[in-house]
Amino acid sequence: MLLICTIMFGLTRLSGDPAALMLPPNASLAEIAALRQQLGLTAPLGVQYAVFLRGVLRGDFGKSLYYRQPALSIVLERLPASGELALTALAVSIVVGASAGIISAVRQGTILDELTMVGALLGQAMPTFWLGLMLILVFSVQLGWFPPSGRGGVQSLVLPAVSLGAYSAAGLSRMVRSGMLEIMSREFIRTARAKGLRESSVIFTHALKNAAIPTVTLIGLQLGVLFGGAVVTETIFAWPGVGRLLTQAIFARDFPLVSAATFVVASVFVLSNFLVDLTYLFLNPRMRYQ
Amino acid sequence: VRREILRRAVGCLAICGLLSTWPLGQIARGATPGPITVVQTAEPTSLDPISNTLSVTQNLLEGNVFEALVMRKDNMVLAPGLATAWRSVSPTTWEFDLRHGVKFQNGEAFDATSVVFTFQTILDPKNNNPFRPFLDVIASVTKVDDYTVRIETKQPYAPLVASLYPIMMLPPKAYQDMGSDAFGQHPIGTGPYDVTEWVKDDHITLRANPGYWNGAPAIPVVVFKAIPDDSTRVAALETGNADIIASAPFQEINNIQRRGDRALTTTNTRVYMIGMNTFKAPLNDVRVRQALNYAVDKQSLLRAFWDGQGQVLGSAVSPSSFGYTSSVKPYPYNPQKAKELLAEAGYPQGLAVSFDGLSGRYNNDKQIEEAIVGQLGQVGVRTQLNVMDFGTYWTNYWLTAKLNGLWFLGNGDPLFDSDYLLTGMLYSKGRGWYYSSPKTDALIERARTTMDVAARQKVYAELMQDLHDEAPWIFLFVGKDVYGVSSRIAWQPRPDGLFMMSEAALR
Repeated sequence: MLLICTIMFGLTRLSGDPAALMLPPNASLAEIAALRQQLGLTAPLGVQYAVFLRGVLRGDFGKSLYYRQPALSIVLERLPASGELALTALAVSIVVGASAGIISAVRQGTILDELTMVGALLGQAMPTFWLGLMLILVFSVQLGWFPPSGRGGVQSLVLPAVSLGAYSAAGLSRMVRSGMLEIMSREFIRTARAKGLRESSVIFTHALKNAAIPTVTLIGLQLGVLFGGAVVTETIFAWPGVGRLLTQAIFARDFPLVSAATFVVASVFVLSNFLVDLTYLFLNPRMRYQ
Repeated sequence: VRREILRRAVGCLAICGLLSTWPLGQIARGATPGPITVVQTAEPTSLDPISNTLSVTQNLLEGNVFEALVMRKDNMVLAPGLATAWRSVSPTTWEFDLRHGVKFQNGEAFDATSVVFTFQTILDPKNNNPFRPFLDVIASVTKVDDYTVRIETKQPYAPLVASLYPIMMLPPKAYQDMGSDAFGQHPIGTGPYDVTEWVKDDHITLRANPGYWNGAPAIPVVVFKAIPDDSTRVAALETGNADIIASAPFQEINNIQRRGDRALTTTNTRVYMIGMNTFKAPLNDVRVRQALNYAVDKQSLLRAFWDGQGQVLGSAVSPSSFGYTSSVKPYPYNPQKAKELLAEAGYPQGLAVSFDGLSGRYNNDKQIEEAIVGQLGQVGVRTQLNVMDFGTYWTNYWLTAKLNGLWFLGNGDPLFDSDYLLTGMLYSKGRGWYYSSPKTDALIERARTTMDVAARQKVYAELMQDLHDEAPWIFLFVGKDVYGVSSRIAWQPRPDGLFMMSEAALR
């Protein structure tokens, strides 16, 4: 986290000056200098960094230059929207990805398998913004089923979640398929079948649970990616989330806001990785934390 | 057995699919009654009208929630606002008569105290207010009586009244009690609309102010939203989720009209140019600068990238700014003439020069820059295009003045007066980083201090011709703003970009 904060501090201060962006073009040099002073940009970089770090440790990133509100609270205000979108997209990708993976593994070599895998390939190859725009054109403009943008109720969540979840669904389905195929050829599956267990029990209890371990890692990583990487989706669907806020803050050189948003996104990454580790315990009881 | 499992799995999927579509009825399309929705490209960051100069903030607030002392009619001619009349008492003294019976939305009365407070807040050096640069010339603002205010300027300053246009009046008591930060969340103005709700990055709701001095507006509720993506913004209009969309892309004009909405355009004041660092060779030679002006085919750029929506310029300001001189014609496209001038200047083999551009700021900006690189290449001017985002670009251009060759920029004129752009870009005692000419300086100063309107226009006519010949920039064009407007409301876009929803009506 410290590393991320430091990198972010360095990157945002390398280019562009917020004072110059905040004043109209007819401002005098003296006026810009005074504003820089007020914003604390005139101090040596080391001192600025120390002030910044001390703030971070206290959870105080300072006031956003443009919003005139504490930066962290602005980010936290957007957190529910981002979380809602990321979790729904994750659910979409798990449901679609896992089902597709299981089906094509169970029906390996059939047309269904081929179709699913072509679908997965397309899902990974399609750029998110293109898919988003296509979804809007078809389901919003043509069919009128969903609103094209904004946040409000379940309806507005569908298109952005599908567009965001498609890529990871595709990846997931390939992973589940190869995992299942590998497990299905193992001895214990034959044993299970020999015991006369129902095929559904073989597939879901024995095979899927064992095939799930690498998949869960992927899902855990995806949650972080879906959360912080929803910039494109949030922009296209005008979703009031952290990703969109972060882009705006970077373009405006709103340093406190950039730091706070980065910090929050990084925290979600760390947290979702932790959750993955916990899930291992459930999936593979042999694993123990010392 | 296997087949059964498969069937179940498929069943599961189908149910999931159904579940996700179940609660969604058909979304109403077209003419639904209810609030009028206006969509901009971004949301204001604070609704304190003096806290930021972002156009999305100004366009939402001015004329809707807040008002200035002066207004502009549709044709941008100055008109009474919160001041009913004004006069120049001496070359450096102005008096303004204030409107009687105006109340802020919290009941506070608007009078001379409000005016003095607003100006003092902006002018106080401690506050580093972003509007102070517009008012630097003001020496003092004083109350003569409850409804008369006197403004003294440091020197004679003809565009004073124009420079008051962006300055919206604040309620002294509420503003002091709340402070700028809280006031920016719950603004209180004198305008026809009151901000009643703000859900961040989602919507801002404006409700008609029943106590408005000019009568409550026809449309009772206006909702402002922000959709950054061009195509999504158009989709919002097409699906009836928006009634007015700003910054519609040029290439969508036909699309919008085909679906029964209207695409309305208005010429704005943003002047686009390829600036030059005239202090460095080879651009310090006026023949080279003129050659570059002949080398760029402005009309074809407009046609190719902006659907022809704009007007080619031969000088430094837009047609809607005071001082524009229509007799100064654009440089025609003449690559032969450009080559001759280059040869005359000692570059028969052409020359190389740097070119700093930006991307993501204006419609198709990068494509325009690349096309210009191509056109310059035709006459032997070799350029290396270096594209930046606006934040980096602006610091290099303006703060550190590091641009050495050519640079692309568009600059608007919020005051609708040539003095603004010329002082900001070409006045060597102002911020003219890349050009300096005693004659230009003298003419800018003379125009600024000439109080008689006709005489002032004459000074500008001379100045515009002089700038045309001196060619400190490759003069390009002004563009148009395109708005998509649904068929259910009557509304006209304005060159200043204000929405002025009290002028709108349901059809």
